[in-house]
Amino acid sequence: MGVGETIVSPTLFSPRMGRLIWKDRRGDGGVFTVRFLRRLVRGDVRRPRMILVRPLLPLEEAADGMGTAGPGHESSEASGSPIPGTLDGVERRLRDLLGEGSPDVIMRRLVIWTNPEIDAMLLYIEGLASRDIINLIALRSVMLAERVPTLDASALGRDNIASVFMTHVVPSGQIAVLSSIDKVVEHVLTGEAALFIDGARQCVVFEAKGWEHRGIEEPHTEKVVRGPREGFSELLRANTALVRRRLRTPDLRMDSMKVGRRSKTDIAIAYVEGLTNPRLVATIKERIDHIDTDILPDSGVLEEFTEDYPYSPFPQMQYTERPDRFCAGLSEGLVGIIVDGSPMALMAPGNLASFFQSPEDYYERFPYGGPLRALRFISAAIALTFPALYVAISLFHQEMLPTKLALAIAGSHMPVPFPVLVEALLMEVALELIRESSVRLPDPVGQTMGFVGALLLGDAAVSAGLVSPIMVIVVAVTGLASFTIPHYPTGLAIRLLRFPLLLLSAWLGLFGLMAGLMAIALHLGALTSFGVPYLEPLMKPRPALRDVVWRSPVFTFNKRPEYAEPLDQVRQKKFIRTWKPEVAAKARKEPRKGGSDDGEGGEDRGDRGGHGR
Amino acid sequence: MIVFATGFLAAARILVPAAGTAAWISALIGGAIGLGIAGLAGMLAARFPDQGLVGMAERVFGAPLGKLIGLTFVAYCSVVLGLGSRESVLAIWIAFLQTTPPVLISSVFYLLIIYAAYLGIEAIARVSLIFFSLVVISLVLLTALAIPVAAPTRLLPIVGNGLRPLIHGGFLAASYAAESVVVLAFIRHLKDKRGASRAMATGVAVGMVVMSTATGFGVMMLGVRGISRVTFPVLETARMVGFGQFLERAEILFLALWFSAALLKLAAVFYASITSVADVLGLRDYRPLIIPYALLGTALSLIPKTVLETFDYLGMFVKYSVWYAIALPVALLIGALVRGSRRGGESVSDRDAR
Repeated sequence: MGVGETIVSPTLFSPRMGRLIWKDRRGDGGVFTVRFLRRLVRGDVRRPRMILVRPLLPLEEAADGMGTAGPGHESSEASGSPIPGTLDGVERRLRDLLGEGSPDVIMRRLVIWTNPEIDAMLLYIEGLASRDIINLIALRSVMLAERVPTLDASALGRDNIASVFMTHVVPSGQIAVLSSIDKVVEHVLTGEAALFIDGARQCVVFEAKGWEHRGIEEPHTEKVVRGPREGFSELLRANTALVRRRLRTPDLRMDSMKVGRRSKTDIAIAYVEGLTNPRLVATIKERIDHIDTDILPDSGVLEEFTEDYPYSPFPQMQYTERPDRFCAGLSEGLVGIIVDGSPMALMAPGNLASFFQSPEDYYERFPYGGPLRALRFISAAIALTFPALYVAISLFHQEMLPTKLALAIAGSHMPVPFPVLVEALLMEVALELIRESSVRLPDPVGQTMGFVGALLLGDAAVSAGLVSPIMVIVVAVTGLASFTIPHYPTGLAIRLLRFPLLLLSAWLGLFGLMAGLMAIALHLGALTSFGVPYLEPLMKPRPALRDVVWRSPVFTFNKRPEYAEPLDQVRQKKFIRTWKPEVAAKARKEPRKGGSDDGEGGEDRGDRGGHGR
Repeated sequence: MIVFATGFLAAARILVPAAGTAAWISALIGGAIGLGIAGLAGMLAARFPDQGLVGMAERVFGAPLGKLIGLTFVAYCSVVLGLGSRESVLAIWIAFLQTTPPVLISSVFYLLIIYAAYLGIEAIARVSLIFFSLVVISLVLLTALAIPVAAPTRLLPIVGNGLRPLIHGGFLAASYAAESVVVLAFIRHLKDKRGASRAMATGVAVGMVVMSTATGFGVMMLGVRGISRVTFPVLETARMVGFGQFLERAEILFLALWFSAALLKLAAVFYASITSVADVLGLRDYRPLIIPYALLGTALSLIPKTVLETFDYLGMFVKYSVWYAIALPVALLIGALVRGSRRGGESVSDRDAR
């Protein structure tokens, strides 16, 4: 049976039009599958001698052909315990592995209508495997299909019957033949189904995932007024599909990994080949490889396992619920990590500036995007320092204020029995209480609770003479400011650091505040995320002004941000709006002026040019 | 990576008596001298791209002499550190917290320096880059606000007390710029060696322009006599400026920024100094030296007993240190030329500019 053999049995249908067979020097051989490629890469296979295309074969001959190929086929899987020879043995073994009393473990005995008939058993987990797929693929194709009776079961050996079933009987896209029962169980627990055949040492495992899950909803944590409303959900495949749909480049890679000894959580490492720095991808994979834990309930846990400085209050990875933001990150050379069961996808490396960006900055026209971005930085400064500043000034540096204001502050503080620090701490703690309680409460109640708590508490505290009205204003402004930061953990970090600053400024006045700020600044200066300095995008004034503390028009983003060290710096053509005569003239002048390097030409448009080389 | 000396706070106090109304020109002359020093340092950097100062000295003069030169450098740094920290602490004490014991301020200050040194030069450099722009912005703002209060006639006569005092003042000012020699100690950490001298030059130039403006405005607002009477003339200048009806006496905000700049500068000096000590002793990690050296620095900063004495010392130091700062790179360069060790020189590849 060489190349070009004719199809003898035209009734036989296989999704593949032909097969590739490889043979090893040691006589090892098998079907050309992805697994083979993997083995080739691993170096298990020594120089495969020939890889030839073989057209579809009649069952009997295919069975013969598989006979030689079969054993080598799954040799890499043979590490686990083998599949028992009889179905009863298989069932006993499965009951050992999966326990006696789990009603969701379904072992369905059935008879395959071959000639002569074969006993078989279907194993799947109810709820994980889709009922439709089980009924349609497994039961129908095996029990009802009209071509099964032509299969001469007696001619098929124990070793290759499973392979024949895989190639010829079970119509499923993702299908494999496994010979280790532990592996089979592992697959079944991810939602696949397994068909054990009496007497065979191998078993057919095919894709049957179909569990209940939450649909695609609007993201809850990153709301925008303008922009897509799709959010990630808990289902890894749905999430990867959302990403694929927005990033259709063939270079998009979704490398899969598993974390958790018990949870065996799937993880997809997403990046764009040829754009993302391979060193970054390797670092991230290596760190994930090192994780040895029981379960991985959420991407947040993964973040803590892999970040550079787990003791820093500042988050070092971005997370997002939005596929659009995720894809934007990937296109800038970041590496995305999607964890199964978590709607929050991670992006690395993170840096301080990235936590101040909201996707809306880009979706809204730039005249609003820029000021909004700047507003967020200002509000971060307010959230961090405003109470401390108030305390420092009112305790130590009253002379800084105009006399009237100083008098007003002093007057409002008159009836308050506490020192300013205690007053501030009291209000800050109350604010945090309101915030925390409104997060924990159900949505509609939470909002009401927040308002009621803030209004009533503030008003009552003032009229009871416990705090001064100015302090209420200070704390309220601070609270508002801290909520404008789009990245929740960054807001948390800022809120957390407010307290030491408050204490320092009550102790040493503005000097204490400055000392605290300096300590924070130095800490930020030393912080890295996957080796990338945390303050990197702020280091150069031009890119910083273009898309960090301000947002310039999108047609000026010629270059990608440098911090992720993408392999390809150029994002878009430098002159895009060439339908405009002035721009076209400039674009024509450009190559004559300074060659390909766009430092010089950018000068005349203040916002242009990825300068700095 | 710009670590520039922000020693302009008390500068006017020293310059004005020397050069009179022309103190601001002195500052500019000092800037020119400082630029020269930066150029020398840049040449050295090109010659020894991955050596610390001690390494350079050892390569040029041999191990024992090189180590000795390293020690003189450490001594220089220590004096800068001691005086600088004393000056800063004093300024904070006088302007901020007159009721707080200076020891407390001093220890907080040193804690921060220790922390910065522990984190290393990268953190210091990054933060200083950010604060640099903040300081410049605040100074420009301050200058703009000061314009209505200033009286340019006080700057007359332009040459002040004559040409000789003018140049003399220039050298005094240069000693502030000269502190940029400490960059030599961490040039090996720079990614872009060729950019080093340019960055240094920028730092010195900006520092000196700032110093000149500050002095000039100080004179314009207070007059020569006024300046000689107050401790920190720039502070007094700032004190006269108000942000409309919103903030009066902006000097505190201003001082806060200045404090951060001084802190960063001293942290850099501290770092340069301990890494040099580590080089001399042949240690691989400089971190164990942090605490002992910090104690030493604190002790040094306590030597002057009074405010006045501090300024006497400062004046003395300023007179002589500039010669050291010029002599050190010149000696190294001449030594290197004599030795003819032209390794590295041109082949320095400019990798990612930072």
